[in-house]
Amino acid sequence: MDSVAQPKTAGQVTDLGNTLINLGNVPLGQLARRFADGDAIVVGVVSRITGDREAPSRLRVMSFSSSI
Amino acid sequence: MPESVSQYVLKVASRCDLSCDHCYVYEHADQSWRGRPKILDGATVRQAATQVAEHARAHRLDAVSVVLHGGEPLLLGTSGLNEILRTLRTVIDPVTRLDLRVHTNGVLLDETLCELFADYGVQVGVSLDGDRAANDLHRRYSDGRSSHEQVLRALMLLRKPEYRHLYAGILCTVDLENDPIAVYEALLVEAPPRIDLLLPHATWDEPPRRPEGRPMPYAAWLGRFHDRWIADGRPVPVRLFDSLLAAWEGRRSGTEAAGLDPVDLLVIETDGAWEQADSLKTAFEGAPATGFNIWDHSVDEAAAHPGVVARRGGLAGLCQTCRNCTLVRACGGGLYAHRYRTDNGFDNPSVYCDDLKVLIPLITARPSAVLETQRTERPPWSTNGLPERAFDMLAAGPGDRSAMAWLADAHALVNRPLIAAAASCIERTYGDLRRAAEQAWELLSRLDLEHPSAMREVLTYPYVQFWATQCLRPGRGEALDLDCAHLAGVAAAVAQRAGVEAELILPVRAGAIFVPSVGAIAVDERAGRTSVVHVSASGLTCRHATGARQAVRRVTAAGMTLTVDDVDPFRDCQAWAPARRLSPPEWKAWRTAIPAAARQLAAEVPAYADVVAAGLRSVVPMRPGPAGRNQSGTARNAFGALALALPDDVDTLSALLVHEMQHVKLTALCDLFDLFDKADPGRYHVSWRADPRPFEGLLHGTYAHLAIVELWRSRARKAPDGEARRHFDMYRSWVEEATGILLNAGALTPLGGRFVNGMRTTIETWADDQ
Repeated sequence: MDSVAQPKTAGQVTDLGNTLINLGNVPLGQLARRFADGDAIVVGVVSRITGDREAPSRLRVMSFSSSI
Repeated sequence: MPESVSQYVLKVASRCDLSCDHCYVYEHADQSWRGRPKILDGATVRQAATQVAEHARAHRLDAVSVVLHGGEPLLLGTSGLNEILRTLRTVIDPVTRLDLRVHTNGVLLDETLCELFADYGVQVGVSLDGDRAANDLHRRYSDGRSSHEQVLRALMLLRKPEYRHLYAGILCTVDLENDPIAVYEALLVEAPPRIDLLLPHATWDEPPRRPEGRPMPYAAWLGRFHDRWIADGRPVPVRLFDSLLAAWEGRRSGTEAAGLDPVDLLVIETDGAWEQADSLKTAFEGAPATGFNIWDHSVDEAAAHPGVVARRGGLAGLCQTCRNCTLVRACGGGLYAHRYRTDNGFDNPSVYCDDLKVLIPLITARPSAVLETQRTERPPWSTNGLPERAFDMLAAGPGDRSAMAWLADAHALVNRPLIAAAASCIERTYGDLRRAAEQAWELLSRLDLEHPSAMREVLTYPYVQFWATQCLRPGRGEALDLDCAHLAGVAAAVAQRAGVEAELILPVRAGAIFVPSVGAIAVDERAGRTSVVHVSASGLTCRHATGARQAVRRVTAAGMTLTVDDVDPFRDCQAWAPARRLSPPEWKAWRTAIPAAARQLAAEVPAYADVVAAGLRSVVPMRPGPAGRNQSGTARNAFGALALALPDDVDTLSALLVHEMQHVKLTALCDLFDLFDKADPGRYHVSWRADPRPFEGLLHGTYAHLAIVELWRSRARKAPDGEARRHFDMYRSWVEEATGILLNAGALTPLGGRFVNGMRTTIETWADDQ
């Protein structure tokens, strides 16, 4: 690989693995309040999942026929 | 040259706005605060800064640390703190690197102060003893009010992206009254960069509370905290544990509470007095005093005080009991203040010695390599919680059951904030559908606490995540009312699974009410937009039911159980319309074909079969595709699901299953990690498509075809000279070419590079496959 790119994800949660561990034990009601309050972690997780990352092609019509 | 000092505690206020009954400053032996100025004045801070700078220059120190402390430092307000911080920066910065910190109870922290700390680069540590009950045991105002809410607000501020870099961590004082697991969980929720666990200050004169019948209760308390922390994979550094282990392994402990490192700290009081460690206030009146001050005495002179020197003596400075102890290099004799007894001063083991003797073997028994991984800066390809072996196995092709379990767990956690966010949409809905959603949310919040495993099962059903994301799409208009009310369907599914009796109002959609993973009940015209559903362990009954029901059907075969969901209204998450309810002959074809494909995969590509069995929860039947073509798909927000039109033969079905599971896995990884630059504008030509593909499409296609290569490799081994060999060669060359394009596009992150190189390695091992 000649070069590597840095993710252009300013404002998004990028280390979701650790973030999720921290959210694992928060009751649902408290999560809702934190989301409503604009808590950066909760909002960050939600916006990452619902964000504008291009989805993979949502339907694949296989270019190979039954001889796949 | 005398010993240098690089850490200073600067008392900027000698009063506090809380009245915590466990505070060593006000409630223990030393009461010197009563005679101190309430705040540090400008002349004193300038003299203190000058002393620190001169000492740093004379000793050529690379860095010094100054911690603003109290009392409560924030009582100075923005203006007072601004003056202090400006003076410290102005005087010390030209000489050495200045690490500035403030330790606060947090109750006065606001955005203005955060901005000030951001301007001066001040790290903020906050005291919090656990959840509300734990915190309220001691941390109250003088009139008895709780400080918990104010502290949580401060921590929320520090979690904001613009202030997150200021967040130093949480200091938590242990109290046996509190449940260690509840404390652990409450602290972790606040996402601190570090947790400092502090034993309550005590001496042999005033020993810590030890309930009858509980030998070494502090070791037991910390042991439970430690066990849970280890089980969670050490999600956050915990200084006490890290320090004891570091000292045991011969590294610097980083705290005077552990190890034999010489103490490198002085305190400056609001009147300019040089003092020893603050914790000595717990020993006796005047214990921290040196008799020196910043006006008449240099840092060198203060550091030469016998009390300071005594804490630099290492093993030789400890009592005989400690010197003979095999664990001494970990605890270092414990905190100096905790050794005090009136009749022989500090020539004793720590009053917590018996607890430390139990705790230290517990901590040092854990492999330090794991800790080192946590402690050191993560390499650029960090997998952030996903075990690296699991990540590499996914990159190599199939992954394994543990990797699928990790991805499933991660998505279970992702779905919780998503559902919570979807519930926040209720306030934008109206009428009977709003009432349905509100009632459901109340029940769901309760079920979440009382029946977590039922909750997890339903919240991870693939089309529940897609439903939540639909609610959160902007501009939903009236459709939001109906979608949001589907919360009632989700609650009904959880209640039924948990065996909880409940009555819920469910929205009517296309003449039926829908319960995810369970099925649909048709209702008559009297129902209107909603119908009341009674949930019990024996099933669902609906007030307006016509008698027609459509259960979600399941297939079990070759170690896997999945739904064939032709009911859920949110299964329609593909670009292509799903099939309607399967007729009995169609269902028979599905329930025959899927087990046959699963058995074939187990025989041909067992690793992939294992992953399909572990990760596939649902298949949506799709309408037949154009003549002669097979169609299948996955949706980004439906982890664990795929959709396909049933092909005519098992060979094709098994290929579609492994192909789509590759998309499921990679989509999940991309949800969690940045593998590539999403802004890459490139379009790339690939052998399997006529149209140029965006980078993400190229990555997905390559990963999906990697599984197909392995499938044909297996088939080619059985028939080396046939069509299978031709297919293997073709798909292998496609993937080889595509990995080259991916690696040279300059769009991969380091972690993405690791992933693609994993694919590449797999392909290269098959280069000479005969």
